[in-house]
Amino acid sequence: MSEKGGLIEVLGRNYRQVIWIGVLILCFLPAFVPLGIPISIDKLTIKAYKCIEELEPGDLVLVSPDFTPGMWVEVGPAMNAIMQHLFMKKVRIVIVSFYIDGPVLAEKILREIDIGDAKYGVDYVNLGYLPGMETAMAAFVENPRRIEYDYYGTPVEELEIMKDVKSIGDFKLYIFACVTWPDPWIRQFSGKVPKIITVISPAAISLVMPYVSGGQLYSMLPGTKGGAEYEALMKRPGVATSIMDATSLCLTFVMLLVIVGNISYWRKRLRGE
Amino acid sequence: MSWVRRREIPLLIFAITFIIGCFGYYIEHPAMGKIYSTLFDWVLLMSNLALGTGLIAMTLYHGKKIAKREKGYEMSFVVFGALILMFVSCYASPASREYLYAKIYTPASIAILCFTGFSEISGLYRAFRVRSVEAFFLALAGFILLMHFAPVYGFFIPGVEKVASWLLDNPAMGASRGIVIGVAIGTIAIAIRVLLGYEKAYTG
Repeated sequence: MSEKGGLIEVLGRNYRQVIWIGVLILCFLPAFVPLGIPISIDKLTIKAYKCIEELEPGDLVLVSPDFTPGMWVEVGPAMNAIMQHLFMKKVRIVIVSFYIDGPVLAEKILREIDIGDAKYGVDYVNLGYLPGMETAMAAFVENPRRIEYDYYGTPVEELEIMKDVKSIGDFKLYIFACVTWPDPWIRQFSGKVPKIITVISPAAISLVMPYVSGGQLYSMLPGTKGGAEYEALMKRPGVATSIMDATSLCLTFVMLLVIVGNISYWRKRLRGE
Repeated sequence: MSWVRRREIPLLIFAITFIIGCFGYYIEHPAMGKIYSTLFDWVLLMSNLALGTGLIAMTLYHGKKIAKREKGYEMSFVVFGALILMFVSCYASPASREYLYAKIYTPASIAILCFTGFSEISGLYRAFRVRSVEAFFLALAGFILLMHFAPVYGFFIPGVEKVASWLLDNPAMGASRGIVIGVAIGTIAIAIRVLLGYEKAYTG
């Protein structure tokens, strides 16, 4: 190493191996040794938490897990946390998906959380997938009873929870999770339900912020970070919290690498190399 | 008469559906409401059919690939195998369908997406090389947002959260608003162009 100019010089070169091995170790480390790194809580997460806290038992909440299984790590744990809170509040939950993978992801969420004594068809329902993306959203908003069968093929008329769903205005809250351009959901549901909360990929935060400040979106949870904050508010640390340990470690590692890389670059530049 | 079939009829269909879609949203009249609702039923029906056409297109593509023994044709067998397996499991055994989805498809998808994390970090390392004043400010803003998304910094250095929030609420939001307004105006402009018949690409 000394032949090549020391550790900083070695790291300063674009050695992908160092980055990949470092990230791999730091991702796995918290899985074996939970670090319990403290978490600061964002004001928007608190706002979302309070919104759900204010719901009355029996209120109708509409949920759309509109993301792909590959994006589970980005938004799935946050959806788990928020859904857990909804079941704890004993509100009635109607799940409808505008992404083809949505219904199965909804099932995954329901399997991973504690739904207590909630009964399918009475306290919650999975209406499945409605194809057509934004047009499907508009169609659902226009008439939520357009869907005739749930995910399991049961006629909607036979489900007790759906007897109280006559129009989109019956829902007190709409929660959607997406990892892309969130405009379609906001365009179609804003103004139709009293409050909208989104669980979104951190990469799309800047796209969502104008709608939060404009009032079209009530609040948002920025991916797994939001999920960890939500778990902290519920005092139920879960998957999101453990992922945050790895995130904090990895991002610190990245920042160190960037600093080292820049020191090396400027040393070379000042030497005239 | 071919020009009629190619241009005017699709344009007329677009114009009618556009007007129904546009006015149906604002006009609360039972007759308009019924037409508006029926139109949605048609669109949902077509969306369902589109899934079928997608299946046909995929079958044709992979079928041709196997027939011609094109490069990587072996993987087309995997596609057909997975397709048949999923299709049969959907009707034969919902439990096995859940297993295939939850235990095979979902972890495989997550694993593939996780690889991008390594590449992103590798790219970030190169992107944050401070070669100029502009690059310095990019790296600085990036650092603050990295600290924002690593919750530990927000806990120990509260100022980081404030600066990151300011960056997200002001410069980032300003730029996003510009994009959103630009996209909205662009969409309206395209709709008007299509309506007036200037945009004909969609007619084939």
